[in-house]
Amino acid sequence: MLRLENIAKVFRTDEVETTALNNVTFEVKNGEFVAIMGPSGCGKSTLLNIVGLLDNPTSGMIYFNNTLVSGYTERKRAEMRKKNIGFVFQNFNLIEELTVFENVELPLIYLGVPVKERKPLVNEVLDRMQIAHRAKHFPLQLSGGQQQRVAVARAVVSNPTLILADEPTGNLDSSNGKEVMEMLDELNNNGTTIIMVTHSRHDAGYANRVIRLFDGEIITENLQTEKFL
Amino acid sequence: MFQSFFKTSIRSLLRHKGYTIINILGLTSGVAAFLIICLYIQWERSYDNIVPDRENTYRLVQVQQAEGVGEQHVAVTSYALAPLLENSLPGLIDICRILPMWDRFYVIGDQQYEISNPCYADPSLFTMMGGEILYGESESILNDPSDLLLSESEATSLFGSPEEALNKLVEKGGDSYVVKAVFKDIPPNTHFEMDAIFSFQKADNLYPWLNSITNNTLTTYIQMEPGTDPEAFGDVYMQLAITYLEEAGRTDIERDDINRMYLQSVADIHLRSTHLKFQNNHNPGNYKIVFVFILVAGFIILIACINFINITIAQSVKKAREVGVRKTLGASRKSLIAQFFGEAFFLSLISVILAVALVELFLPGFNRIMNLDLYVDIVHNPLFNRYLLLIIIGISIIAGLYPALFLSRFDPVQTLKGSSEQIVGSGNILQKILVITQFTVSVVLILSVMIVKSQTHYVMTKDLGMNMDYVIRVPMKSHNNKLDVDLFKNAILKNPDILAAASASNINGVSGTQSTVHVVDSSSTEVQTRMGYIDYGFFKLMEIPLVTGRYFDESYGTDDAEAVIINRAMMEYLEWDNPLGKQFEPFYRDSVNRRVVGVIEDYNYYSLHWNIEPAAWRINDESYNMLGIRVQPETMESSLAFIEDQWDELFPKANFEYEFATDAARNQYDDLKRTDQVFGWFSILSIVISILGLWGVSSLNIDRRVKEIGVRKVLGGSVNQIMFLLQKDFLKLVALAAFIAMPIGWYLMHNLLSQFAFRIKINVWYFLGAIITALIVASLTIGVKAFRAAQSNPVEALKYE
Repeated sequence: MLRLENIAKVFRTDEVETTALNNVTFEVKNGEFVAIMGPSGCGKSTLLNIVGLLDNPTSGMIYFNNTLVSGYTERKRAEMRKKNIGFVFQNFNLIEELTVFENVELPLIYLGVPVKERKPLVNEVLDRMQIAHRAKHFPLQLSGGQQQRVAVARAVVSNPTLILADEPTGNLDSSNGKEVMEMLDELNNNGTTIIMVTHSRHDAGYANRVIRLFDGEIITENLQTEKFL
Repeated sequence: MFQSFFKTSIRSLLRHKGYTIINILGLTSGVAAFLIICLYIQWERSYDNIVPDRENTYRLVQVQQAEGVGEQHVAVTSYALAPLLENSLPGLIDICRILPMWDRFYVIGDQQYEISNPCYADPSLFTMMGGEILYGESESILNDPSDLLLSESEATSLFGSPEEALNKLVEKGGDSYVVKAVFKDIPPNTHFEMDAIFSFQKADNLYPWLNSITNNTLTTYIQMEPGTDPEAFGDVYMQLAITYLEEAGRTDIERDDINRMYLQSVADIHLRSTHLKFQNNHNPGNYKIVFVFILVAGFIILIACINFINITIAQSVKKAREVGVRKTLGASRKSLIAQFFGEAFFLSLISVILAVALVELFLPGFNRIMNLDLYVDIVHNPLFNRYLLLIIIGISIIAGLYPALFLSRFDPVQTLKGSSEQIVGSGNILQKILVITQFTVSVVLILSVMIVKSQTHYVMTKDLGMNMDYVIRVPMKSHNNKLDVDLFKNAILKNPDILAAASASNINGVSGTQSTVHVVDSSSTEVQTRMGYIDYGFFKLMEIPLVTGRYFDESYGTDDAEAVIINRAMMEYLEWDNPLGKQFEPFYRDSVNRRVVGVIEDYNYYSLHWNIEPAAWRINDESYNMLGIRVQPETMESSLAFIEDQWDELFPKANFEYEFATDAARNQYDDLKRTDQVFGWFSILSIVISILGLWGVSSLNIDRRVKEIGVRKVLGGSVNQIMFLLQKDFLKLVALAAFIAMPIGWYLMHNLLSQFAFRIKINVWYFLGAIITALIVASLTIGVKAFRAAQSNPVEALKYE
């Protein structure tokens, strides 16, 4: 599904040049659950942003379903994103002015799904995430765990083939964290490919494969034949 | 998609109520002020719309090289000019003359009545200058010497109704006039006022001097064929004048001796005539004042839009995250641009709707100050039914442009990482520029208000060279003959509280005419002279001091026929060291030379707009239009009652009227007073909007620096140091704005004051005052929030972050 070849990312300021990623090459197959781990500043999130087509690499190539997408314009990347990728962030990134229902509805709006079709889709996913009773609430009225469930609901509502999760449990206590991870696991079991950045070994245990980064380079790539948990 | 934008916008506005109120309050009051000023400008520009072919109708203006005065442009011309032009001016369609009349008292039945705004006019009046005949004859009017036309309101006031007025007789001095027609009242936004129109056929008979080509007493209007170049008129006229003089055998007159003439478009008469003398009762507006109001209106809208942009920039850290999320979820830049413009449009729409309500609320007050009758007409006035939408779109574009183009560009990775501080960095530069712009405008306005106020105070309190305090002016109406004046004067002077009484053509001592007088010397030196017609006691009454010689004195027996008193300006122009005994050739209607018996100090007989020109006074008992009476201040009330009793006893058929001389003098500055008031209010408004904006922006910026404040406090920073830190950046901007504002303010005010011959000097204190005011206002505005932030517990700030 996804192939990265010799990806490099260099950040330049007037005086300093920082190599965030160096010669990163790996592949993710359909239905895989990949965890990316490594110490702070090793380039995990940069890698996830590049994979999510939110950022362009300085060099290297990205193939999405065998199509080279690394040279795409922002418009084309936006198009790819909304059709194929769902995002879950550590700090939820819900729009505070929109209700739970409206936040989850947003990707469908950008996809141009008609109003009539949107409502059942949103309700269905809110049910699935067990947050339907909070549909009319605003994000700031919810607990962290509830907010992340909404974020996951928003990520999956458009039925993307790939979900990118950036430290999805980083702001949650252990029980809420567990709930979120179980949701992601369930999605993966149902066929959704997931790439997750995490510091937590426990969370990484849900993945089939763990990629370890250090100073912008892949140091190990372990295939977990069986899920850790 | 737009529904989602709309929801986000509304909820965002509701969540940040404080900033929403600043934005809406600013835009609403800004748009309301803008609309009120637009209504005023519409009114000023609507003058003389009554004239059917306004584009091709002109007033003749003469440029005179007046000895003793210099070049002067006058709006009066000779009655004899029209026939000359009629026969030989190429492209002429029609011509019309209007001469306001000075005598207003007529007899209907056996009663005497005062008629408002009587004048003589040519038969072409209605076709060329506009107006509508409502009753009576509309063809061949003003051709007969006895023709009289009345306005609808005048006919109603004199005869009960317009229909009743038709064919009624009005008499004066043995002459009879017949009301031939009644016309619709001339609208107030017309530069000529007329309620009774007489035929020039009659004036021709009554005033033989009217036909003299050198006697400039009336206004001549001409209508030219479309496409005629008005600039070419000067040369054409000059050629006509030369030919005319040659045919009249006047070969002694040089081309340079002939006064130049030019055409002034009727459309320009109201706003572009402050340089003209003798405008026959019209009190012109001033395009400079209109321009200043346009500037103020623009400034207010600009300041309100700047608030909107600045607050959006200050909020952009929060907005950035939303942009990031939307972009991650697939929003295109175009849709985000639409969202930000939509937000600005929505806010403008609310503000404009509220503004119209505000206009309704404040318009009566504005009308009172400006003495106008403006009203909101949403159905017919294009300002409301057409341009209002343009205003909304305009504001949306100005206010929404920056957020739409800048915020929509945010990189989702950066914004979601929370590093929006760096992203909005470039917005800070714009924010600084906008704060500078806003305060530049505010300092210009503060400076202007201070200067306009000072000039108003100056003209109201300046020593005019005569003492008008406790002097009342009683119009003598139809009793303006020497017999009646003396009778009344003697009656009131019996009361010891009446200190003095004297008569003149007007309370300022001059008649409103300017004549050429000649000195009895070898070259018959010529001086254009303001003529004053007074009685023996006038200078003493008004306490106008003598430079040399004496006042008029009845005991000499010959002063009325032979004596003249001149002012210092005349003495200096003629370079007379010993003016007493100098002689002038006989004045108009005189038979013998006039001898100078005294020189008085210069006093401002006209408004301070004009210089004091050479003037000469003589006794003329045919021009006693009013009686000036000086009253003991303590007994003003009882003295007025006494004077009124005497009037009623002597002249029971005429109403008693009076006004204080000081009021009469100050009324000349009504325009300035109005400008001062309106300018003051609008400036305060724009400064308040600026303050609101500065408060909003500084609050948001201080909020952004909470962590920095916490760290500084942990490291030992004092409240004062932190307050200074927070205020320093903004105060620097305000100081820079003040610096930029100074030349702009000076230029604007110098221009506005240039219409006054007597004016205040714009000195450094005004600038210092404006700068200090702006700094204090800004410091207080930022200070409150800065103090609270500096006082806060550092642990809270760090925990919060």
